[in-house]
Amino acid sequence: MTALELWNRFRDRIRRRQLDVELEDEMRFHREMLERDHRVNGATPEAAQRLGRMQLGNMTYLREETRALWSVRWADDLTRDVRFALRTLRKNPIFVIVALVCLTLGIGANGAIFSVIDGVLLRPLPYLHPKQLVRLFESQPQRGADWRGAVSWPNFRDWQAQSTAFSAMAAYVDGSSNLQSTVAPERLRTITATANYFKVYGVSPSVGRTFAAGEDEAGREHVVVLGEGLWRRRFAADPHVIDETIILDGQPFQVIGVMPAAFSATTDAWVPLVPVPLFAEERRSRFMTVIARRRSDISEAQAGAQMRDIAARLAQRYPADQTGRSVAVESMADLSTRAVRPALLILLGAVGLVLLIACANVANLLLARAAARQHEVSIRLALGAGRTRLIRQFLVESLMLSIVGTALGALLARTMLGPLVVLASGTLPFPGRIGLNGRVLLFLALVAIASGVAFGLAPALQLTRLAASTHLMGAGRKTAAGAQQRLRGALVVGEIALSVVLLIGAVLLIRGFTVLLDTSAGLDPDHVLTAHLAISPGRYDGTTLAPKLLDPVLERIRAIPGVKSAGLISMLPVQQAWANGDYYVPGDPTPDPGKEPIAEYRTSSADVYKSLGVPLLAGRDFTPADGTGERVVLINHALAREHFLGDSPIGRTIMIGGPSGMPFTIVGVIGDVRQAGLDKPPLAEIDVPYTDSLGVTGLTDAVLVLKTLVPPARVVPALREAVRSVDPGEPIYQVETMQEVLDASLVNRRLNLVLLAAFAMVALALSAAGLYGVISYLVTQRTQEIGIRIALGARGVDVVRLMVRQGVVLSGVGLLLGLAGAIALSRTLRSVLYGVTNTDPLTYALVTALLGAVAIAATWIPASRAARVSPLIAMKAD
Amino acid sequence: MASSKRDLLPGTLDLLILKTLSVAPLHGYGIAQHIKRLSRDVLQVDEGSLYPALQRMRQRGWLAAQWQQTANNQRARYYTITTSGRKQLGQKEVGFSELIEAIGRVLSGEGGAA
Repeated sequence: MTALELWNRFRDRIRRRQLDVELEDEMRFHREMLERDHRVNGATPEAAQRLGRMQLGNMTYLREETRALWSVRWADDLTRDVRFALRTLRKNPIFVIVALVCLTLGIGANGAIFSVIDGVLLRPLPYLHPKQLVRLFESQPQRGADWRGAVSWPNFRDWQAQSTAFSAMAAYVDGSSNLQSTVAPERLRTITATANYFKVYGVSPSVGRTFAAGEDEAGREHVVVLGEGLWRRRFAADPHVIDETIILDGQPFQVIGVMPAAFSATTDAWVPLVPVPLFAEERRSRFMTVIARRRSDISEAQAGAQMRDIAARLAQRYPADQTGRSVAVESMADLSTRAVRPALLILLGAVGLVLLIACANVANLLLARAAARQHEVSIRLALGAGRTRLIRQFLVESLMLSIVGTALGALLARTMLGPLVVLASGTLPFPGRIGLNGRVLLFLALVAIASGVAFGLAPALQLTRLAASTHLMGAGRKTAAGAQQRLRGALVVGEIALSVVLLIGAVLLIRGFTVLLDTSAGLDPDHVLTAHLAISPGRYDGTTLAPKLLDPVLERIRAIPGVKSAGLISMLPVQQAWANGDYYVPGDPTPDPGKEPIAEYRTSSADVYKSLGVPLLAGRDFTPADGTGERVVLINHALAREHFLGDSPIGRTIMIGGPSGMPFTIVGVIGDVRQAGLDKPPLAEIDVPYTDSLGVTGLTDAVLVLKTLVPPARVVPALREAVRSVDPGEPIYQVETMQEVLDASLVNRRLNLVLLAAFAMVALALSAAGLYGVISYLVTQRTQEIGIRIALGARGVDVVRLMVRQGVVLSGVGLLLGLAGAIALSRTLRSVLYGVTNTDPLTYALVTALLGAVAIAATWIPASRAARVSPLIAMKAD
Repeated sequence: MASSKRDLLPGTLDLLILKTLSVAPLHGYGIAQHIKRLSRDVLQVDEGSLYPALQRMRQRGWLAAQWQQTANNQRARYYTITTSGRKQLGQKEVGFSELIEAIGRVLSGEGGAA
């Protein structure tokens, strides 16, 4: 049948009444013509009529033959099935509501998580041929295969000149700049990049142009490319912004273009990278991110091999700087999702389990209903209904449920996505791309059909098979019930097992999280306010920064009423980023190249650790006099323990930058803080005072830390005013309490935890409902037997015990299977667990207890109903 | 009389209807009469086959149908051949002549090894 014919048939099917009338008219005309012929040939009118009718033959047959052409049989059958299903479903509203709730929860959770996975993992990066994009790192194989570091300018230039595997290689530095404005100055997130940066990505600007070759050379006019967000926010999306001049860090920049939000939602502006002479020649100043586009005829492995060759040559040529260093080439796509991939896949697994449980529940409901419909089915089979026809009808019923459930689930997913994206915006790359799109809807449709068939087929097959053979003879009742019971029991066991797996996953995460919450960052966040102070490099230099800006700012904020103490530091604890470098303690053996000890370097002021609640373990804090005379540093406990075991480090010399570096005197030891996050152990740290010329170099961003006597929020206006009174051009931004900073460092884990715990709770509720349903059904089925038992003298307790035993057996089997499954599956959780092992016994015990309690409750209610059965009614029940 | 009525070869009814309509639009009765007359009463189109065939060919897009007044001012449904119907007619004519030729060769015994 061609498509046209099928289409015409559907059209005819719809207007078949009209076609019927027309055919009738056509027949009448035909008959009249035949009659006329006969009359012309001399027949009487009556004879002519008779002959005409005879010749036209069986009109009914003719009509039926023709009408058959006006219908599409399977479509007609389907319509009938749908109508029938609607009628039967309408008669069982409770069943429908329960089934739809199960499906909506299961499918909604799947829809939401799949949307996130689609937006984050499945969609290619929004760049030209994203598979060719790579990042290049300096690596130190002796420090570990996964060690990755930033790149120095001379190395970048050498890589660029010597490699042939890439069509373009660019370098950039993440940073921030002050946008000067008469209205409100703003801190912008900027990327300072070489001119070919956009060429590597292969993305065009939405307005204007990007950097031209050579625009990153010293002495060129300053140009800036705006991000769409900034362009809309500050320039009302005006395309004439091109050629306008904006003031960044006190210097004029000409706007040349605007990049679309799809390219980067987080960067406000891009400016050319012009390395200052110090960095341009210093091979040990590693501060850049290097990206490149691999040539299409070069494999990733070939590119990596070539870069390692180049690195080996550089190490030979510059042994002092490059010994032990190599290059790692990694795909940008992998890097962008690596951090979130395990968590997302775990969540997908979790919602998959929830859906399975939901399907098992609906199948269970259908089975219960099937038991009630056994009689109806038997009669229909006996009257000659085809088995396939009946199965199809049951499937139509379950598919209708699943389709409506999917529609509701899609709505639920949509409402869940809003808060989910907000919750995840800090942790997921490209949150803007997450949404219910065609692919997600297709996924949901497939889930709907698969689940509909999955939970509808088993009851349908079983019911028609059993009913056909035995039910009407009465003898079949026991067998039928027995097989049903086994199937429903198996479904409940499966549900409980899956719930146990989910619960254990969730409890493991919760336990890990509480361990993290209990982990001290090494500080006291109570009544601590933090605020970033932007420092425009163009407006202050190494000699003016401290006396002209930082000294007066500190002086004024310390004078704010309600402030107990205040200080500043280059980087707060628990940050993702870190800043490290070599050091050397005279007297230690000279370290092997590539294995020099490294420490975190911070620039800080007096009182900052006191304000953060970090103890001073030995020696003294910085004083305003430091930086003028003897050069001094503070070290932390981790460094002291490593190098001065037993001895007092106070007064000892430490070389900053390695054996050939600058000598400093240690004046104090501070307690350990977790610099890189609560889940990372404290690292060795060296603090240089901001009053020292070394400390002040590279201080582009300072964090003010205030310990307050009043609620921290109350001093914020005074803090802003204090900074403005020193310099209105240097705004403070990201004003947060220390508690907020700590919370933010856990947001990623918290998201996983909240979602997984929610899914586990849904799973537990669903399987409890399933267990309850099965036991209720058993009670109803055994009413007669229970009645006899009670009549024979059984006490209520005995009856309850009898029924509960069945529930306990089912949940016990499910629990054991679930525990075994959890031990096997929780291995995948290792990457996101902290502080607990995946076989943490307490977790397993907790879940066992929780599930046992829920199972007994779900069994107890119907079982106690059984105990109240009146023997008289029970025995009459059948 | 009855022996002179010939059963149509399968598929030939469509061919005859299309051929008849390729001259001018006609109603069902007219089509039956036309075939009867041209075949000198040898081919009698059974109405029980004619009308289903017309409906089928309409659904396949070979024919179009509209109600019109006959010369005697009666309302009748006239069938018109469409472009795709003409294409079908061409193909069926070729197929049919090939079939007749083949049957003829078999009946005359020519070309065989005998």
